[in-house]
Amino acid sequence: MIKFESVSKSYDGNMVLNDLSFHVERGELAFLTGPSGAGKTTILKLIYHALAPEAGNIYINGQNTCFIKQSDIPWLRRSIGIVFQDFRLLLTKTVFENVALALRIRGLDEREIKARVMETLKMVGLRHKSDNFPQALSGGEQQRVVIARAIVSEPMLILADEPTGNLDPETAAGIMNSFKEINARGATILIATHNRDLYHNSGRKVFRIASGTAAGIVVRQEES
Amino acid sequence: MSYHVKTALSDLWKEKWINLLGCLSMGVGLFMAALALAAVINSNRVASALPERFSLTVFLKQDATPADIAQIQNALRGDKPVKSVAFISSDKALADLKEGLGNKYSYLLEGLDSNPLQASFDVKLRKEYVRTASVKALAASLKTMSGVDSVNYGKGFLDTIQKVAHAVSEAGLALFAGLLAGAVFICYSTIKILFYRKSDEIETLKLLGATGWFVRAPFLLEGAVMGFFGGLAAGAACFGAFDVFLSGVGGALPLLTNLSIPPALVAGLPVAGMLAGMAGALIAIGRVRP
Repeated sequence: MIKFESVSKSYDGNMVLNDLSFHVERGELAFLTGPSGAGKTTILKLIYHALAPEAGNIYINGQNTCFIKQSDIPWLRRSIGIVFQDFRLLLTKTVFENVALALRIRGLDEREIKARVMETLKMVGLRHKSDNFPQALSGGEQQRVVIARAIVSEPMLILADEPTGNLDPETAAGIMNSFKEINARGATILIATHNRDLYHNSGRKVFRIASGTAAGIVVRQEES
Repeated sequence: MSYHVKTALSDLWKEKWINLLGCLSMGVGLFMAALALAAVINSNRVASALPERFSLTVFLKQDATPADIAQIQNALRGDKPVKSVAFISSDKALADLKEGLGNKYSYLLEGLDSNPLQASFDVKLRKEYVRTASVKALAASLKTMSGVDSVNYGKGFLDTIQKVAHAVSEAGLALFAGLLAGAVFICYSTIKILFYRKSDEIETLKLLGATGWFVRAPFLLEGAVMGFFGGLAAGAACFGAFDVFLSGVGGALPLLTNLSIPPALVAGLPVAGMLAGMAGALIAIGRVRP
């Protein structure tokens, strides 16, 4: 589903990723970890083409996105659900409107949008808060709205950037359970986090990114 | 209601003061543009109305024979630019003069042994042929005819009227284009500010997979609404201004009472405003990179 081949990326001459290669299979729930500044967010941005690599190839669902046309980028992004580290919720819109936005962009009709948004909000436990504005929600609730927005269109790939940052362990565990549920329905999920509790003993694949160097990849095998 | 319309209306309301300012500024620009265009239309109307009253007088020699007169009359009637021909005999000319002088000045004509006035043809031309060059050519050809003494037409007057109308047209159209561009620029500036204010939201939309047109659509609608209402305000101002102008100055200068602002021009203002608004918005947003 995701394949990085010798990918390099630098900012203003500072190498962030150097000759990075890794591969996430379809249907996997994998973790991307490493210290702050190691390049986890950069990797996610390269996947949804907010950044372009200086060298190497990136394949998403078999398509080399390094050669994608500008006009095709929106369509690539529509196949990906993104949980942003900074949430990126629209504060002037309600919870319902924020989640519905992902479907409106895809041109769905209003009746279907309403049904799917309410169903997704129910799944993340926020159906009763659909008319609230983001600022009236707790951090954990906002995080779940972002997750709802990422999954409502049933994308084949979900990227989550520090989805449990600043959350208490109980809320973090709840959010992690949501991801497992979504993964069980067939979506491929890549979670960038430095929260060891999320992936420790999870039995999932973990890609550890060493700062500024080629990835020293550690793959943890599922524990029985 | 579609998402774009809802978003545009909600944004217009949220930023109502800046939008109102933009709308009024566009209204002022469109109002002045409409006045410039009205000046062009009115000057053309005045210039085209004058030729209907324009006439050319062909004076005949005293010794012109009836055959000469008939030949000249036939030649004039067969000429395409000529609308009508009226023969004025020397007797009728004298009678007209007497009537014009009235009893008070009739003594001026006492003592005349013979009629000194020449017979003439009063020639009215078709509107489309009242141009200096064609009138000149006609006068020149008439002068060569047997029995014709001279041909009179208001050469200087005709030239001046046409030059003034031409200058007013050119200046008015240039002013109209400039002011319309000004209205586009006002909308451009307003939408640019709104676009920058929403840059975070736009970035989010793009990251969620929105196309350039999805991002642009609400701004285009905002520009269209702003321009439409600016145009309406300009139309109302045009009618008001003409009323005030004509009631104030029209009394002093009766010629000005012929001026008017064409209803089609006023009706076209909201549409012109809408198009100017959309053009301004389109330029302001430019190409939305994914």
